[in-house]
Amino acid sequence: MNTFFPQLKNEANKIRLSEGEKNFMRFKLEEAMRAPVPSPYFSFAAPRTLVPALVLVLVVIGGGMTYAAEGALPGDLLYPVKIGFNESVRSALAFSDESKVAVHSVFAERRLEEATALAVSGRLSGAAQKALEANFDAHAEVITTIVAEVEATDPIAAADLSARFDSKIAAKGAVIASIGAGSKDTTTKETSGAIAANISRFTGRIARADAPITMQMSAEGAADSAEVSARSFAKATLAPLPVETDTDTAIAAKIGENVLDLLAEVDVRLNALSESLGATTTARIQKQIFFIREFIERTQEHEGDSATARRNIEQALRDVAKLEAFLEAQEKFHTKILPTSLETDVEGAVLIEGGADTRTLPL
Amino acid sequence: MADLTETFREAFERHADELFRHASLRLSDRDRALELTQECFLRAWQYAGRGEEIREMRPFLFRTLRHLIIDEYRKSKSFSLDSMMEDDDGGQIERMLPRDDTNTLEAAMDRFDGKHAIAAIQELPDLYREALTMRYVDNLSLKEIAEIVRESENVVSVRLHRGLKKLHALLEAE
Repeated sequence: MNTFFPQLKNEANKIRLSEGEKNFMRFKLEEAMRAPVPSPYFSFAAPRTLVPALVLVLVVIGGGMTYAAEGALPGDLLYPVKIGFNESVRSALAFSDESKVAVHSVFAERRLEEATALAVSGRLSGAAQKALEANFDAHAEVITTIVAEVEATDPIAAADLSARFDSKIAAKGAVIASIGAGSKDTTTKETSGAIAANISRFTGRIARADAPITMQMSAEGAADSAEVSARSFAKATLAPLPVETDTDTAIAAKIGENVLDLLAEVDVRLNALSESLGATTTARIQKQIFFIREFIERTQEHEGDSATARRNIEQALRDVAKLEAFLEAQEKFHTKILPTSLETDVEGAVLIEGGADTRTLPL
Repeated sequence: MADLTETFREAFERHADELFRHASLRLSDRDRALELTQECFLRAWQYAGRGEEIREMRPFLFRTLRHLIIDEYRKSKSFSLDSMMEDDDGGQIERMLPRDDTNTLEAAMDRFDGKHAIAAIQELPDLYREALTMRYVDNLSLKEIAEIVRESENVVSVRLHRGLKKLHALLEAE
């Protein structure tokens, strides 16, 4: 009786994909099989498109000088034009509460982006830091005021505005903190740290879950994997809410939509960056995206305590905003600095091993 | 395109595990095996998406996977020709080899425990590893293996024979 080969086969058959691995692979295949959809690149920044056409006209009339000013950093000749002219024109033309918040949010974020750019090139002096902080604070405070006003009449909108702003500045703050931590220059370290710390004055508002979403998902393990595989991954929108919903559920739903939009953008950015990030890092981030998507779809079930659901969704928004900010930094500055994971909220960072992980992607 | 999507979904459910298994045995690196398996499906999809016809899914997938594995070897820092090549030229001997010798050899394997053979197989030169895995783990026919590796059935037969011989020697030595 020939037993060797059956035994061999039996033993070999033990080598197989885990449930989680299979789900993930299935998901990637489904993703590839969907017709490519042009990325709604600016959908999360939809508020920006609310800047009236009039501003564009003014900018054009202003001529090359105002366009050129857009990229200016503190210390550049045209920086005063950017702040003093371009931005004040825009804020003057924002009328609704939502577009006001959007405009001020954009400016606040810009200060952080400018700080990042300066920090990367070692030019974030104490003076620059203070100036940027002052301007940032001014915009952040306007937002705080407006949101407080909105809250009285429309708590859901207020929560949404808060969440958007908080998650974005927290994310950009994390990037600055990372760069500061990785910098060899003492001044940069100090000024970056100071800016990051200052941001936290404004990010207390949105609630935090007990743990980042990816941790919660992996802790739960393969329990729901059968459920997950039964779902169509083509679905990227949320189901309509039942008629009777409480505020927390409504807020969770609204923020959930933001998260999905943002995830789509992160996906696109990740694809564009996959070569420079390397296969391992790219795969890791894809997994995180996958987990967060799964999580959002699960919250649609509207099970459990709605306050917890809301907290979790807000955490998810933080997590995704963080991914987005780091990928954006990678793109702009080639900093090769990424958060080690979303598992710790410490804005710790690790430098990617240069070269070893570089692969040419097939096709 | 609905048909094609369904075809691929089905192909995935049917073949994902065995492709992964094959890649694992060839590469001894689970993570890379995962990545290559995924890449295999994606490439197959792209191929089909270009309008190319896939006559038989399973051999096609194995062939695609094989190319990825070969590319993987080429990239590997520890790549050595030895691990790829056979000991000597198979062309001469193939004509002289009696067909039923392999059966005898297979029977001779019976004294060994199949469980320990996996580790031993991974020590063989890749050409033998490939042939043995395809034949005894993936259960591909001689004809199918020949098509996938683009060699004659005789050449494949010789590789199997030599692979078994080497495997036997390895297990004997333990």
